[in-house]
Amino acid sequence: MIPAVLELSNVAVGYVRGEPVLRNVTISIRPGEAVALVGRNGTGKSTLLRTMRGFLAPFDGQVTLKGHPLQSMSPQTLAATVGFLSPEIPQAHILVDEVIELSSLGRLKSMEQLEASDHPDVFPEVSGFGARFLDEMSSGQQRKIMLLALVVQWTDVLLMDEPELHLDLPSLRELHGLISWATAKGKSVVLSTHNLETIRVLPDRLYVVGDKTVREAPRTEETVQALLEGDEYVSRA
Amino acid sequence: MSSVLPVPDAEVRRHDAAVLVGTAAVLLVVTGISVFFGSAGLTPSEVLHGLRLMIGGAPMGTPEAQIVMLRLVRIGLGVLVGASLGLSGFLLQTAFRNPLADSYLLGVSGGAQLAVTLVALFGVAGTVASVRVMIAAPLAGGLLVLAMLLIISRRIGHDLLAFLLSGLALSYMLNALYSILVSTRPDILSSTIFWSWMGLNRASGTGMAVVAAGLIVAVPVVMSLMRPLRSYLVGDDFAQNLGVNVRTTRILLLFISVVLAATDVAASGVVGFAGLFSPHLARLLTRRTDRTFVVLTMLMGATVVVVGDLIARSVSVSEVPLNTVLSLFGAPYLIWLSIKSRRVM
Repeated sequence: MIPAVLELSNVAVGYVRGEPVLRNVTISIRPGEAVALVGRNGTGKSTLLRTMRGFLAPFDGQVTLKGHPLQSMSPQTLAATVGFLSPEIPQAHILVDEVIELSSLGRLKSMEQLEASDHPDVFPEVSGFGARFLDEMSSGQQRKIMLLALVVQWTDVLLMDEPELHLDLPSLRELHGLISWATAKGKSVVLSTHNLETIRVLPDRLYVVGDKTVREAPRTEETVQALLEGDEYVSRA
Repeated sequence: MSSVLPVPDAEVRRHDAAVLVGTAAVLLVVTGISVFFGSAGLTPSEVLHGLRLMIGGAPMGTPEAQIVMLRLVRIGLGVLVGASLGLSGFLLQTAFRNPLADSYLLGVSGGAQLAVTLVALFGVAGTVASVRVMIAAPLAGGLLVLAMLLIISRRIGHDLLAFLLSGLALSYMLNALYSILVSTRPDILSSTIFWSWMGLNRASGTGMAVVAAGLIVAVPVVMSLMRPLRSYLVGDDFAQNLGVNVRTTRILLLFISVVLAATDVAASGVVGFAGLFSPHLARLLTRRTDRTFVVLTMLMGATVVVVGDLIARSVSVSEVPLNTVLSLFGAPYLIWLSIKSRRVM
């Protein structure tokens, strides 16, 4: 079996010690797979993603990235290995070209260079936006730029906190294309989502976050129906 | 994806060189014109005569040469203070991610001024004259206000105008305390008032050295911080995801900003709006937030202060405070900015 790229074993995590948001979390992410985290608001999906990125240190258990404890890795190594798409919309007065340059860690200087490189053929409507300021674009357009920025960071693991936010319907399809393109190249994608279409068509595996922990659930229509009913114990089925 | 090599963009470089040379030329012309104006009422030929004497190595030879020398020191200080205020404003606007930030509007300069006044009032006689106290007191005052601003911004969140309003309120409170202090001991404080009010007319070599020292420390640090600075500008998560220590970056930007503002208060009293203007004027000439932009911001700050000072000493019979001149232009600009920022939100 292919070794996992990202592994959480018996992790407890949260913001206040002694009051973990999640406990006994054991997850294993393999190269080239797309994994979705689903569950109701406030159950800890974002907390889990931030733990996977190393923004939050686990109270208990261990997170390993390519076999190394994540907490022992330098910020630079982490930035080159695991990328994170934040749910926040930047509204920053900075050029799109500069966002691409920063995210590619200097490899690419502009949107134009991104277009010229081997890249996923998505979001063509923002491809000419290199010389625009981020805060002069709509939330959806900014979101697409941030998604492209995550891809040009070119990490082994891509973490996305609700990537569908603000995207129009055609862009949602393109997002799925983008994720499939990345996984086909051996990248692992972990995303949190509330989008039915994403849940139904995209992930190789599904984890339900709820009841202060995480359980794997089969990607079946029964699971989707249980999620729609708000059944937190769905994964026990 | 990794096959594309970064190509030096010749067009961008040409543009950068052109705007830098152009802006520096404008500053040079403005400083040149400035030498010919002042309350002494020298004719242009007298000024030229004074300049010739100075270049000839006899600066104190005639009254003309002495006046020209004073003007050159004053303009030199104006250039340094302007550059310093511009950089300070840029750092403050970046750290708070707020284009409305300025050390005067947020009370940082007011805190520095109040601290100097307190030292003058309660300190040992003669301490105000010491260079070390001249730097330490405004720095302590500025940092104290910065701490208050950090607490306020944590509570307010991302509301740019609410944050500005709180800063303005803080600024008014500090000014009120300053006025009360001044009224209690007019004898001791008359020198401090003049210092705070008049801007560049107390220009001295010491003041220039203090501001220059601040810039010599700050500029290389800022230039080496451009990558984390720009990542920080996009957002906390964005920066952290790229390996940037967000907390350290933010505190460093704020600390350098306050150090610069404190040296400016030490040398020329409270000068408002130059820090607000400069990054916005630089933005008209270049769109990238790079080293060129930082240099342009400082050149713009220098130009704004030199022009402001020129107006301050030639518009009326007696000299108008520099801060008053800049407020005259700054206030309407701030109103326009507020309207604009409201539309963007």
